[in-house]
Amino acid sequence: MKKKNIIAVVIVLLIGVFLAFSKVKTTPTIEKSPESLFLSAIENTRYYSVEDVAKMIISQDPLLQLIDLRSEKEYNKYTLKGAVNIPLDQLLKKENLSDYFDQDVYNTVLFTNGSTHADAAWMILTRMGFTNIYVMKGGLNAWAENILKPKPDDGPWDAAADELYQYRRGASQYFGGGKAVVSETSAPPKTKKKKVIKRKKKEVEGGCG
Amino acid sequence: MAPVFEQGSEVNLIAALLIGIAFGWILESAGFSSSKKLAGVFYGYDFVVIKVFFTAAVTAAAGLLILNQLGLLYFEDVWMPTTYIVPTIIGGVIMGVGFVTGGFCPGTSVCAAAIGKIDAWAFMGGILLGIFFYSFTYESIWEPIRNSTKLGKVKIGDLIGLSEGMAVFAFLLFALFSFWLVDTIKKKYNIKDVEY
Amino acid sequence: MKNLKHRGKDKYMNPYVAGVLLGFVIMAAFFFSGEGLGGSGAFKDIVKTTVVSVAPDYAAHSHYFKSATELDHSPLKTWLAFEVLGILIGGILSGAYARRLNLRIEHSPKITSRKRIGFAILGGALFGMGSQLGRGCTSGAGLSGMAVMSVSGFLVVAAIFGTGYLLAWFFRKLWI
Repeated sequence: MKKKNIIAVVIVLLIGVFLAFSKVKTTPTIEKSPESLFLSAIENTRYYSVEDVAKMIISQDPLLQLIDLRSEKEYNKYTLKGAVNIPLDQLLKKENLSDYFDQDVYNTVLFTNGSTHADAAWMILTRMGFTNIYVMKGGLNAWAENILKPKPDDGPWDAAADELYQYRRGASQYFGGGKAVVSETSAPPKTKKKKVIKRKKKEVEGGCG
Repeated sequence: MAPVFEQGSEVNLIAALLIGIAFGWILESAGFSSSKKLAGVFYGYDFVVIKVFFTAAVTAAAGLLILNQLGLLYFEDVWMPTTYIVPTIIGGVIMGVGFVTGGFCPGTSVCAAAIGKIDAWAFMGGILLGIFFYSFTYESIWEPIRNSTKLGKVKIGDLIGLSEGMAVFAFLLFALFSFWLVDTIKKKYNIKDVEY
Repeated sequence: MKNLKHRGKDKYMNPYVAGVLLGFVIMAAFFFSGEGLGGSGAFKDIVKTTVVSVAPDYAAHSHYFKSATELDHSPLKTWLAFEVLGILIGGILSGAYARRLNLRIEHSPKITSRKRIGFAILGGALFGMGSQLGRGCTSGAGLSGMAVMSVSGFLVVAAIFGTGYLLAWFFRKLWI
């Protein structure tokens, strides 16, 4: 019995010493590997054309979440219907990440004036492991050109191009006709903060108190 | 990845029931269903409480750290109490008086009630009375105390400047020392078990 | 342990074995549910359920019950309430296995049953209040708190057992 006790104590102590030098691991951030990031970056799957976005806005797609990455000043001048403003320099703020990107329900579409900054933001967010992030190709410049004041195709007539033109003209009317331009002053649409369905659960509550 | 089941889900409640059954079974078969055995810890004739209690806590602390090392559990994802110094101490003192007069704690009283101890049913009724009293006097007496001296979710290692691993190791040494101590005390003073 | 002449099923488990098994149960609670074990939480849920259903107006204005009135399910549908129900079932099963099931009042021969019951109610009431103030009882705040090496767990265990030892002498007639 005595011997048994000593053996038990020695085993327990060995486990203890082993544990003594271990360091606590914290939740790892899920990062995409450079390879898969590269693949999805060169593929064009991250892009929505301005027509796609227009279609989603018109049909009031409940899963669409538009993020305007420009400055607050520009956002107040003009933005897309329902867009939320997160200036690029505030993108990595904790509450922004948790409120808008840490979810897998909405399709998040990023846009700026062109697409370079939105591309950069897409790269960062994807690298951080967030999903369903897209970029509006060509940004608001393309939006102004194609949706707000569409021009008919100059080349020889073809059915697809004409259909696109007709669609753009229709959309143009929906979004206030050819007059509106990006730089024009117009009241920003009221955007309500959406109730975000979180992927991660809330802080663990409990205990018997 | 822990936790396996989502908080508030039905399957989690079933898990709670099963875990409770295991808990109750172990408590009962270790003798925690007897107030005589439980109170023995204060009079030196039965140290089963200290042995079971500290063995369980050390096993769980070490085991959770191992799960953490294996990447199966992160402490941010599981329950962790927030420390409030003064209410915890006052609450502990009140519970200490309750322990030495009642001979149970809430978990063990349920387990003793299960095997037919009428005093345990009385104890459980007492708990309900106590909580009723507490709840009706909450704003006037308890609320300011309860929310004072908040320290946050602090681990003992951070407080005394030890790494988590070292703290668990120190806890283990402390537990082994206490086991040795209680056995020595019992042998030295030759304290007889009480019978009734 | 000399007085435990029984051998076999009705013998109490070795405390270290029981402790290790209990440690595994705590680990399972954290691993599967992310929760610690508890005891007093279920009693709190019973009180909340009772007050919210009997006096909803009072509950809505009480700081203590307010959160319970805003739930979309019964305050009894909690992890701890089911876990404590499990303790009851587990206790019955183990008691039946070890042939310890029988109605009785366990008390020292120096006190009457009535006195034992009185002190049990008193002790329970103190535990009820203390566990609410201290955010958990011996198993919830203490055992589970120590399992995650929380300051709060060690603090509450030191306070409970410290007080117990300090006062043990005054209450010795109840037990020995």
